[in-house]
Amino acid sequence: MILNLKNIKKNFGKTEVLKDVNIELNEGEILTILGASGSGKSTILNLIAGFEEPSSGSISLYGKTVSSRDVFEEPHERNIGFVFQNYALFPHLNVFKNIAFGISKKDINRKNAIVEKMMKLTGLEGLQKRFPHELSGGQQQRVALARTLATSPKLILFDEAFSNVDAILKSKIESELVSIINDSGLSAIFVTHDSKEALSISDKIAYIEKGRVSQFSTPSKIYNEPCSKSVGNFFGKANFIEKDGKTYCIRPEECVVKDDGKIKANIGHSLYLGERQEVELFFDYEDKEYKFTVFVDKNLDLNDKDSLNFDIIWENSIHME
Amino acid sequence: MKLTGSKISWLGLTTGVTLVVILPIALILIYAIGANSETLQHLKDTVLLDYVITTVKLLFFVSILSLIFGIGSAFIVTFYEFKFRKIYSIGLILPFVIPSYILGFIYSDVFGYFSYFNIFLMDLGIKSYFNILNFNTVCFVLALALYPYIYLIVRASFLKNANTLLNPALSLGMSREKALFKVVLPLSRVAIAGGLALVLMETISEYGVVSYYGVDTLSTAIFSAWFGMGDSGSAAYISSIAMVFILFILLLEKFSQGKARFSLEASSSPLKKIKLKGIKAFFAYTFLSIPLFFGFVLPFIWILIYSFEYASDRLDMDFFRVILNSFIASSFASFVIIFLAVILAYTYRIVPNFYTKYITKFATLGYSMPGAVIAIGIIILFGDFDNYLIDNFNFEGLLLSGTLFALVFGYIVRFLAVGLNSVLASFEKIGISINKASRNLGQTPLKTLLKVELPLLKNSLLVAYLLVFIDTIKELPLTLILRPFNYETLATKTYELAVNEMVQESAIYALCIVFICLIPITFSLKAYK
Repeated sequence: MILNLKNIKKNFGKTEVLKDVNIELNEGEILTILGASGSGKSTILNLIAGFEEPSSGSISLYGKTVSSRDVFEEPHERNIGFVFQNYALFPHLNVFKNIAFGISKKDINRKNAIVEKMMKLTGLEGLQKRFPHELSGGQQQRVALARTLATSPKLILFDEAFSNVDAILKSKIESELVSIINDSGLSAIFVTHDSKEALSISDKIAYIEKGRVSQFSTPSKIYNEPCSKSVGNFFGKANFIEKDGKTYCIRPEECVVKDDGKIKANIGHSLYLGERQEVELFFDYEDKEYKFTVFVDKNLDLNDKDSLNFDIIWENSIHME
Repeated sequence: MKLTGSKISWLGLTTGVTLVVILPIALILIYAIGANSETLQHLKDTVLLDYVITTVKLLFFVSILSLIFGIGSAFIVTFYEFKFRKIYSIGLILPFVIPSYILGFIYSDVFGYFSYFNIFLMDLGIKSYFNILNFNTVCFVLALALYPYIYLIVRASFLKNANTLLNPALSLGMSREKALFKVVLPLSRVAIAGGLALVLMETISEYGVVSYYGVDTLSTAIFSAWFGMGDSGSAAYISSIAMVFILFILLLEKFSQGKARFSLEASSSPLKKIKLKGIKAFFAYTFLSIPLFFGFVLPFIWILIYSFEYASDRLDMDFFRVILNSFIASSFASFVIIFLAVILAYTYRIVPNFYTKYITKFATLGYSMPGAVIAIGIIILFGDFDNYLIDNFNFEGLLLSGTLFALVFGYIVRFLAVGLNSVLASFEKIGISINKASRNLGQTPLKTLLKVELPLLKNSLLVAYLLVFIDTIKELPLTLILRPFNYETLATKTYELAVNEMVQESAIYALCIVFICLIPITFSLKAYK
C-alpha cells in the first residue's frame, strides 16, 4: 500500500471540515476525490502533502507514518508530487530551471539529463529558455507536470489541475497524462468537481460528503450502485423508486419508452438536447407518486401527446443499501 | 500542533522580535503604575487636567476640519467633472509631503507679527495685532497636514463603491444625489473611520507645532516632564494617559471594522461624472483650492524662496553632516525593519495560525503610539539596562543610553508596522502556492524564502524600505528625545532653527525632507492614473 489515511479529522477553528476520512491507495492506482465545493477535497491533498496537519488520525506513506499524534514530516521531507490548480510555476525562473528546481543531485550532467528527459516526455522540447508568462496554459501545465515528475515521486497529487484548461485541450491532456502515469508505474490522486473527468481517468473514486468518504469504489460501481441519492445525482441524472420496500437508483438510460410499456406516465417539461430529448415523467407506482427524468428519441414528437408508456430494466438497476 | 525544527526556529525568532519591540511600551505601563513622585503630584494638582482637556479639544477640532477637507474634496473630485479636475485630484495628496511641524513654522513666518502680511495690514491702518500663534491656527495647520489620510482612503472607497453600486441604485429609480448620499457615502463609513483614526493618532503624537505655538498637550507634557524635570516616572504616567487615548481610537476603528490604510487604489471602469458649471463650479474650485493652496502651494513656494535665499549661507559642512546623519540613522533603521518584517511575515506565512496572527499584530503596536511615548519607554529600558551594568559589572559610563542604537531602536519600535504591513501585502500578492510548490519539491522553508520568495519580492521590498525610510526621516519627537548628544538630523535641525528664531534659515532642510517625501508620491502617480 502506498498511502493510508486513517480516521483523519481536520478542524479549522470551530468548523469541522473532515470528520472521519479513511482512504487506502495501492501502487499504480489512480484515485479521484470528488465532492461538492467546500466539502474538504483539497484539504485532504494538503494533509497528504504536509501543508496542513490533521487534528487527529494518521497518515502513512510508502509504509512509513508521516503524520500522527507524535510524528510530523514537513512537506520537503515527503517526496510527493503536487500539481497546483494555478500551476505555481516560479515566475523568475525559465522552463529549464523550473523543471530542475527539485532535483537535488549536484551532478550537473545528470541534472541536465533528467530535465531533457522530462521535457521530451511532456512534449516541451525547445522551450527551455522561455519564462512561464511566455507559455500557453497547456504548456504551463506540462511544465508543472515535468517539474513534479523530475523529482521522481511515487505518488502525485493533482489539485483541480485541469480547471484552467479549455474543454478540448482538457480531454487531450487528460489521456496523455493517464498514459504517462501508467507508463511510469506511478500512483496519483486527482481532486476535481468534474464527475465525467473522474469516471474516465480513475481506478477508484472517493466521494466526500459532510466531511466523510460516503462512497469509495470503482467508477462503474459508483455510477451504477450509488450509495446515496446525492452520490447518484452527482454522476448524471438519477431517478429513485421504491419496489418491495427497497429503494432503487434508476438511470435515465434504464428506462425504455415503448408503446406497450407497463408504466403509463404523464409528460411534463421536455428539453431538446440535439442527440436526444430529456423528458420529465409523472406516474404512480405501488401507490406512490414519482417524477422521473428519461431520455427519448430526438425525432419523437412530444407536442401532440399528454402521456407515454415505458419500462424499467430492473435487472440493471441495483437497490441501494 | 506538532512543531518541527524549522517551524520552531521561525516561531522563536518572531516571538523574540515581538517581545523586544513591545518591551518599551510595557515598561511605560509598569513605571506609570509605580509613579508617585512629588513632581507628578504637583502636575496632577495643577496642569495635567488642562493638558488632557486641550488634547481632547485639539482632537475634536482637527477631526472636524480634516473630515471636511478630506471627505469634501474626495467627493467633488470623484463624482464631478470640471476643468483641471485631474490636477486637483493629484494635487490634493501633496500636503502629505510637508510635515506638520514645517507647515506650522512657515505659517508663523508668513502671518506672524513681523511678517510682510502683518506689516501690510498695519500699513493699511489695521492696527490690531493679527495674532496667529494660538490654538485655532494649530487646528488648521494639523488638519491641512493630515487630511490627505482621509482624502486618499475615502476617495478609493468612493470609487470602489460607486463603480459597483451607483448604477444599480440608479437603475432602481434613485436620483443620483440620493444614491450618492444613501448608498455610496454610508458604505464608505469604514474608510472614513480608518482615515480618521490615523489623523487622530498623528494628532496625539504631534509635538513640533503644538510646542511652537505654545499649546500644551499630553505630548508636550511628556517632553517637559522628561527634559524640564528629568522625571521618567511622570513622563511614563503622562504617556500612559496618551496610551488610553490611543486605545480608545483603536477600539473606535475596530468598532467600525476598518482596516484600510494609505493606498492609491485606482478604478478600472470609468465613472460617469456630472459636469459642474457656474456658481457650483466656482464653489468647487474654492473648496478644493483651500487645502491645496494652504497645504502645499504656499508653503512649498515659501520653502523654495528661502532655500535659495539662504543657500549660500547654509550649504556648508554642517548641512552635509546633517544629511549624512539622517541617512545613516534612517537607512540603518529601515534595513533592520524590513529584515524583521520579512521574518515576521514569513513566519505567519508558513505557520498561519491564531498565535502568529496575534503576535504579529502585537509587534505593530508601536505605530499607534506617539513618538514621545516610545522614546520615554526606550529611555527607561536602556537606562535600567545601563544602571544594571554599572551596578553589577562595574561598568563605567553608559552603553546604550544616548547612542545611535537607541535612536534606531526607537524607529524600529515605531515604524515596524509600516514595513510589516507592506511586506505582508506583497507576500499575499505572490500567493501561497509558490511557497507550497517549492517546499513540495524538497526545499526547506528557509531555502524557499531565499531561492523563490525574496527574488520575487525584490521590488516590493524596495518600496517598503522607501516608505519606512521616509517615515523615519520625518519623525520629530522621537528623534528629539533619543538622538545622541549633538546628533542633528534633517527633522531636528529644521526644528532647532525654527525655535531659535531662524525659521527662514530652516527652509533648506525642510526642502530636503519635502523632496525625499515626494519620491513615493511620484512612484504612486503611475498606479494612480
